[in-house]
Amino acid sequence: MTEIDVVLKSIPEAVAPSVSKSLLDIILKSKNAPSLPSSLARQILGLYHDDLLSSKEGFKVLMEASVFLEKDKTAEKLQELNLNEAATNIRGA
Amino acid sequence: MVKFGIEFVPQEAYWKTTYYAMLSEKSGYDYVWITDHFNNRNVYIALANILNYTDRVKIGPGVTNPYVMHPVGAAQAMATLAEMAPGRVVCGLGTGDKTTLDMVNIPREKPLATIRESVKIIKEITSGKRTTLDGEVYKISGVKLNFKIPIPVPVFVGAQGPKMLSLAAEVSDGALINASNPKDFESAFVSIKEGLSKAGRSLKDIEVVAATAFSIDKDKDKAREAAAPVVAFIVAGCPEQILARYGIPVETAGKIRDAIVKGDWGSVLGNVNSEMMEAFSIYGTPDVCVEKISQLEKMGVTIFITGSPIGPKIHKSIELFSKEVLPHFKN
Repeated sequence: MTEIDVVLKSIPEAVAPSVSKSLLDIILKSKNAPSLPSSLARQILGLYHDDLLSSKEGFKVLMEASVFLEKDKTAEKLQELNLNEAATNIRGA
Repeated sequence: MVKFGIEFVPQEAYWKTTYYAMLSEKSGYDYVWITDHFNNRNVYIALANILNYTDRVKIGPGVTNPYVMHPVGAAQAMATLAEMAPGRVVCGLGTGDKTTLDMVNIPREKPLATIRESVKIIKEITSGKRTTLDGEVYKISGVKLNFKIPIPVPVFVGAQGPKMLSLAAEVSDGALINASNPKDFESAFVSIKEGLSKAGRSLKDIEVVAATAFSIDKDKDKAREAAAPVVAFIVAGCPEQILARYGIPVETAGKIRDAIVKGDWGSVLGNVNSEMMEAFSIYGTPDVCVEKISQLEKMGVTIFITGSPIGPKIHKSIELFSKEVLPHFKN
């Protein structure tokens, strides 16, 4: 199990859609956007093209990208959403 | 029925511009335009990537300039894009931004002849014709692509002054007018009709495109705040006759220009007033935007472009535009 899988496991499925939106906000606002690996960028674009960004796979890719670009901000946002375990897992990742 | 376009400056990571283009397609826009400056991401590469991830929206450079990109090269690039997505590619052509041309010591000479000849070259080459031109600016002989594209590429001309507007109407498929206020369109239509008359054409033969500085938000002040820096740049580079049209003193425009050069953003924004905002942008809540777009549609604008900044947060503003503005025109 990867570190991202551990983080995802600590987020209830019911809140995944709203967390996804917050992750997308973080990713689009990030000043580090040009450093996103092209493989991750292609996955985001491909999943979005197929309307799968809100799927389980999409959630995982958004989390990976968000943690890659803005680890602290991602943890803060999860804390704000009362997902403390997920936030702690990200800080430890 | 008016169609809608959106303009992006490829100054952000390539995948973000692509994402915004996809969002625009999913939100109901008809066109995505990408600006062309050599110091941003390359426009043709950005467009190719967008084509790979979209299915319907028409795309094109808005606008490329023949001083940096020879029209034969532009025709080749447009034809390649058109091969990727037949019927979905449009070429916006203009004389370019003087500031960036100065950086590479390219004088913006003979703009009317340059554009007239470039339109001819791009239209003929992308139509699969063998092209020869002994022009005032370009001399080419027997140029033909080694591949065919099924649908020729329409060419739109970016224009502001009366002569360029008239030329756009005379020779191109659309006039891309960089303006937001109905006063500018009143005078633009006079020049457009002159050009159409010269060529024996009518308004039905071309698209009239409003390329606006646009900002939408549910909070009017936030929309204004996002648009103000763009308006400052427009005022700073605005010809005196246009400033006079809106009663803006040349000295004020000079102050803004100097402050931009110094990077004194407090002074830049402090000098942008309500008259300038109204003259050079469309900003505000969805209701206000609907009203202003309707006004331009009634005047004869056939494509409305929401240009930079679009809003305080681009993706939220696109979604808001899609939910609260587009339905007024598309249903």
